[in-house]
Amino acid sequence: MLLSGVINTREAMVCRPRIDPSILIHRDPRAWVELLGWKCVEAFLERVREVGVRDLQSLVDYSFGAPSTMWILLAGVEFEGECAPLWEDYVRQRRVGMGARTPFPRVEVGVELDVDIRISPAYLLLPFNDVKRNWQRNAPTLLKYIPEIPTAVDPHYYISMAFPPQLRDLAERGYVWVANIKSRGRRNHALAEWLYWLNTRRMPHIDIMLGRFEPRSSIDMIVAKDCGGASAGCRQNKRRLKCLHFAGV
Amino acid sequence: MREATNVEAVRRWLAERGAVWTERWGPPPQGIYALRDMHPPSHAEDACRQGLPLVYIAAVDRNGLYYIFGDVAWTPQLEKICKAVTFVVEAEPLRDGLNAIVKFVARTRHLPWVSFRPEVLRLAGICDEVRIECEPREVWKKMVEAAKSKIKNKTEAAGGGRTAEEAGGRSPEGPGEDGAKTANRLDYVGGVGDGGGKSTNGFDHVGGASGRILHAEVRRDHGDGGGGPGGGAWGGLDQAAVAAVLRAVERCLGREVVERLAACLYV
Repeated sequence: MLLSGVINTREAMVCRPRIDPSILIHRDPRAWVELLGWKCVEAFLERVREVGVRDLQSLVDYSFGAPSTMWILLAGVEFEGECAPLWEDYVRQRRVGMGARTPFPRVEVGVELDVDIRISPAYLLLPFNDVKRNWQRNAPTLLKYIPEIPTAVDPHYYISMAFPPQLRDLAERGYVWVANIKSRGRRNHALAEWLYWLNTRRMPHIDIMLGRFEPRSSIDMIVAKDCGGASAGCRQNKRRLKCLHFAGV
Repeated sequence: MREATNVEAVRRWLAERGAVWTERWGPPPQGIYALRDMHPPSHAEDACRQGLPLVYIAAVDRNGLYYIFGDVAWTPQLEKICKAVTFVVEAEPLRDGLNAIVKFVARTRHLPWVSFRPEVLRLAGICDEVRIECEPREVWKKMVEAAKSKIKNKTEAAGGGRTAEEAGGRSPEGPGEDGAKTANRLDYVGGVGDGGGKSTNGFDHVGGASGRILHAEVRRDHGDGGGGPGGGAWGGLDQAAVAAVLRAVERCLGREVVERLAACLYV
């Protein structure tokens, strides 16, 4: 469990994560250890030492505050296992899935909202300038309020400031409720993810995996009760089906 | 472009720093270009025809990743007409190495920090030294507006006189941009956690494509407006803090920087 004396062998740099790269914006060191493992954490630390990061907490803070630098810093780390392709895509190809990760259950809330945010907070892992067009196409509502997403400098702080308060208020009704608001025929899973991330500094799908989802209203208890707990790893689609099944929808 | 081709200046600087470097005649390696907006290759043609080389500094980290500093992104089309020289410098530790090169390039090329990729600034630790330079421009605009508002209030409190701006016929709310834009900005300057409160019926605009809840009744029976880490008063910018920041900028970087900033933001 000690982080000192990192072994510099090639083997030590191999990392076997059980979660997708969005953990890099999940500000909970416990989750990093549980889902990445110490070997992975040590491999990451070995890389970020170059920019003055010394321990797990600082690593988590640095990553949370500068997500779009992480693909640079993690270059050279080798990944194995089920989630490896997602990490390889991120670190080597600079590719991250845009959509929401969280398997919110489907319920009818009968609300329609003219809002257009289809990008998950996980997209902060890529430099804004490189994927600006995707933001413009898929999150125009957000860009209307913060035209330049500061992906390398405390995005949480600035997006919290800029995020429309009226949208933030929707979280009071529950994240599941928000996820099921319709906009142009589709549900707002990404918006619900943003609200959860802004309120907790953590990604909801990771909290669900670890049974730490923080419900905001009674409707969120569906997630807390039926979708949490078991390890889903990177098989999100299977997990989504299971979650919907248990939600009785 | 002429300034960019000063090979001797780079050599001298590297020698003064005691840096470990190699000088390679040829294009830069593959890597991350450190400048945000580089000149198109066509801009280099004049210099190349005069026989001047394009100069690149390539900082290499311990993982073999290159951070390239140069004015023109190298393309195969330049190979026929341009010579290039690349100074490969070991950047170890990465932060210190990059920091020195970023500062050298910024100084010799008279580039503001904003010319560099934010990721490179962050890795180089520039954001820790002059955090303000890494902040989103929109935030800066709001800070300047808040400072202006404070000055205006002080002026009014002191004598009830008009500010220079008002005398010039400009809006006191903003730098004279279109009304809608200004209204939007002011709408969220209030910040998260201000209790919402702009609407009582729950049908107010939220900024989507048209920005409206199309149907449904949204209850707003809470008073704290958000509750999470965004709750409280910090969403609104503290005017005293803004003034303090501006004073700090002036102290650290000089009056000229504050003026340049103001000019840049069309204040």
